[in-house]
Amino acid sequence: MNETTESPAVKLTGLTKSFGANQVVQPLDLEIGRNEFFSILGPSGCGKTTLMRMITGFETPTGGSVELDGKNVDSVPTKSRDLNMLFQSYALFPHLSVYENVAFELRVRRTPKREIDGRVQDALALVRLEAFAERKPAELSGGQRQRVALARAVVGRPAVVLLDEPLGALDQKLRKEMQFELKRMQREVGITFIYVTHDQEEALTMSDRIAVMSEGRVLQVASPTEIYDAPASRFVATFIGSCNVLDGVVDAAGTGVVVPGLGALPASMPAEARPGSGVTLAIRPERVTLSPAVTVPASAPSDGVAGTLLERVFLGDEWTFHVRLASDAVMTVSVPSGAAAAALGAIPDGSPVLLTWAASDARVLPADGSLVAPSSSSSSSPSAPSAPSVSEVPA
Amino acid sequence: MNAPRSARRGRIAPSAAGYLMLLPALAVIVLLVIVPMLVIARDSFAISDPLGGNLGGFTLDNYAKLIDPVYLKTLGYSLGMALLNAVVCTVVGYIVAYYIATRRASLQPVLLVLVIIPFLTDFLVRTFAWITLLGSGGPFISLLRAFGVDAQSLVPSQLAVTLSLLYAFLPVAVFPIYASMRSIDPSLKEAAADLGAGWWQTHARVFLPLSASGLASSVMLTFVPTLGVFVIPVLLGGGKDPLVGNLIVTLFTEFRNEPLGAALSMVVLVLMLASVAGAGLLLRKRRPAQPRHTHGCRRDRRHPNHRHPKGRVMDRLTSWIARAVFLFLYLPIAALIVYSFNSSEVSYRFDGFTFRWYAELFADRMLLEALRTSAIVGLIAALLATVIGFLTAFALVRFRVKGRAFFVGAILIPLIVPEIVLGVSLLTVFSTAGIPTGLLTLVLGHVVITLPLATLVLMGAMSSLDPSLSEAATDLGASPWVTFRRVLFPLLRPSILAAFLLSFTTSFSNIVISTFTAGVGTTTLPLRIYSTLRTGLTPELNALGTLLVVATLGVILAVGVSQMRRILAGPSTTP
Repeated sequence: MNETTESPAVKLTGLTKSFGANQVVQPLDLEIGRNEFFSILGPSGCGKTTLMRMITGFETPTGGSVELDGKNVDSVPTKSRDLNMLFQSYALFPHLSVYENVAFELRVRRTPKREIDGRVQDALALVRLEAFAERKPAELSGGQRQRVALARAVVGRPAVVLLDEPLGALDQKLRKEMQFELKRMQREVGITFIYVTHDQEEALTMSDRIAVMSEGRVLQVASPTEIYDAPASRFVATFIGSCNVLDGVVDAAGTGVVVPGLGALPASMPAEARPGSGVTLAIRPERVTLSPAVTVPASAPSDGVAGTLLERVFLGDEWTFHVRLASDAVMTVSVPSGAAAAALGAIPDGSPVLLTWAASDARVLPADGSLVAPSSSSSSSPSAPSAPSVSEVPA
Repeated sequence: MNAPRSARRGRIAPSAAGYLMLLPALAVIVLLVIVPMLVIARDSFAISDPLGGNLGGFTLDNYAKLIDPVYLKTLGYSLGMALLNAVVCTVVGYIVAYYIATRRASLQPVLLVLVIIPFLTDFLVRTFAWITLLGSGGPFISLLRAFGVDAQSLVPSQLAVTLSLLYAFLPVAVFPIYASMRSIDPSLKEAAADLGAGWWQTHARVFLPLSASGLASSVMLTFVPTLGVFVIPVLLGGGKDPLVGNLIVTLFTEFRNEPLGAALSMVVLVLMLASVAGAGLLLRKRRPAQPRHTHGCRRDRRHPNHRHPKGRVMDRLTSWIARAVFLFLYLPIAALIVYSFNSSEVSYRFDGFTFRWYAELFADRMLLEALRTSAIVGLIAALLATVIGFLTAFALVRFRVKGRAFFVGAILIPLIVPEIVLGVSLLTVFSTAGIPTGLLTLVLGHVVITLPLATLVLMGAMSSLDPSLSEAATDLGASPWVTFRRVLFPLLRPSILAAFLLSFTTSFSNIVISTFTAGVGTTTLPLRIYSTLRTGLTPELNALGTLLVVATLGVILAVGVSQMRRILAGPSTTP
């Protein structure tokens, strides 16, 4: 994260915020690089909005400090901080035209008149709204308003733009389009984007790095692939995408995990795993292979786990299978639609099946029961409501 | 997200500036409301001079005198009339509000404006229109005669008083009920029908409980001012059955028995406070009890899904009642306009079209003088109320002020205290302080009654602004002053105009406060109309009334229909 010798765009040191006795943001340290697309991801009420508002200066931190471009800004008011915000409600000035909304900052900061027009036109061109300059915000669609807000946020060329769930008000299709648009614009203007969202898909598709927050704490800061493939905690594993989690203990040799009722299961053991310590095994549904119990593939990467096929759910691009294990826990397996899924079509519900996975796909996480994601819903494989997910059933 | 904190968003941290902005409003409330009421309270225990005036000292005589059957009768009659009027207004208001709230969205503002026009029309004009309508030879009597009923005149009569009281206060009842109904999800009606509730069940179990707060406001807003009315019993009741208001006016202005008047005012004040407290307690009791009702709905399986023939009949019946009410609201106004062009001097003949009365109106020097006084007082009072109201609203909405509820309550006091009590206490305090009645006292009195209106209008407008707007301006580099000038002020301009115009209209048509605060040479237009009316209705007054109705339309257009609706019926729940 510190590839360059320059100071980071944003540096937070021991930053914390309490409202009365309620500590909304636990003391945290964070560095956000220049030109980075950085997401703060977490469920509602995790403190991410408060964190963002402390960076902008709308909230005064209870403790710690904020540095922008290497300079401490704790006593710098919002209007003088070199950052702009894109509000969740967009906060476009309803009495001003699109043009005047975008020009607002330049006029307030007394930019030379001859410069204003060019910069406003450039900003409108960036968001492809040149033709709408004279309209009032009320005459625009939700997506267009969002673009105006973005143009207004970048026209002053701030070092950092903070975006507060900017896609929340848009419909599903527009939201997907805007994800790519935002990423394109961020690359084009070369400004650090701090993107606050509760939508893991948005965070995964756009970000260079993601900070996952829960209950006022930053649990993990990493690239989207690392967050997905190597979650640091059970919360991260279940909050990002869907994930099967099994509670167990490290075996005596320190080379595997013993899950009560299932025996030793293949897992990639971290070096620091101590024999006998309680851990959580996390396996993504798409990394599990489902096969009929009678035809165990010879090439199986390791011994599998036997179970009973409960049901299957068609989701368009994939099938989800729910399998009850001997421990009574239910595991989810996802298989892309097509030949592989068709081959499994012959297995009737209720028949015995075998689940196998590569040891490297089973992450061993510290058992942190306190940090469990509220639900493991995701667009890639939501678990069927009828089948209890493993995380809810003590193994 | 973070719902509890969002209320705080955009508010400036507590600072001296916030409290400083509240100072003018507090000065008005303390010096012109609280102190005068304390003086009245003290005076009610003073010994009265048989020659008129106040001898000071302490006695309970004044209260003892009120037990006299003459006073008790008036008091009982007033309470009865006020209660009757409040109940009738609220029931009719409920039907009208329900009718409006169940029309399609595009029709609702139109219907609401139809209620607003009579509401904003000068109180006296609305009252004397009934003289034309019900008086000898008027359209109503002619109609009765056509049906063979031998009638001379319905003025003065008990019926005329009752009708014009209903007419005067019905709009006040419609607005709060409509406001509370508008927040009811319209699909609840279908849900109730789907669950087997008939028309009565739907109303008794769903609409009535959900609009309880609106109904309570309606009762309060019609009961309290009816107690203080003194114009209607004189003009339409012939002064035979005076209300408390008449008694207070007589005691202060004719008998000059201030201590007895003060005691009577205190009784009215206490009755009013008791009824406010009672309504508040009732509402508080209701709320936790509500869920209980959701269990007991008897399912009527015989009439599944909307097939309630009785319900449809009832809906149709209430719709017709509502339409009749709209007719009722416009009959007097129509009579006013028609007779203003009647070339006959008597109302029982229509001799042809003329502009003569308008010409005479503009030749009436005393009337024009009164118009000038009212305009000057209205402009100054509205300007003061708007400026002070703006500062107050700004402090209460934009600053984190400690004791907000207390300040809001204090500013609303003039709205709950009967105007007649405010009027006599102002008169008392002005005469005690040696301030001669005149332009100054008129303006001060009118500021007292318009300030809460202006403050409420502006508070509503400010809190409906997205708090992110001022944050966005700050974020884009604007200082607080630039944020105010470039963002907040332009957005609030229509509301500032609305606050000013409503204050002006209120001041312009006020008669109660003016009765006590006007001096020689500062007769306001309503006072002038009132004294003219006591000797008889002239066609000239119809012309004046017509012009005032037109002016009201102008005010409504200037404020804007949607804004008017927000002011009177609360913010829209559907964006």
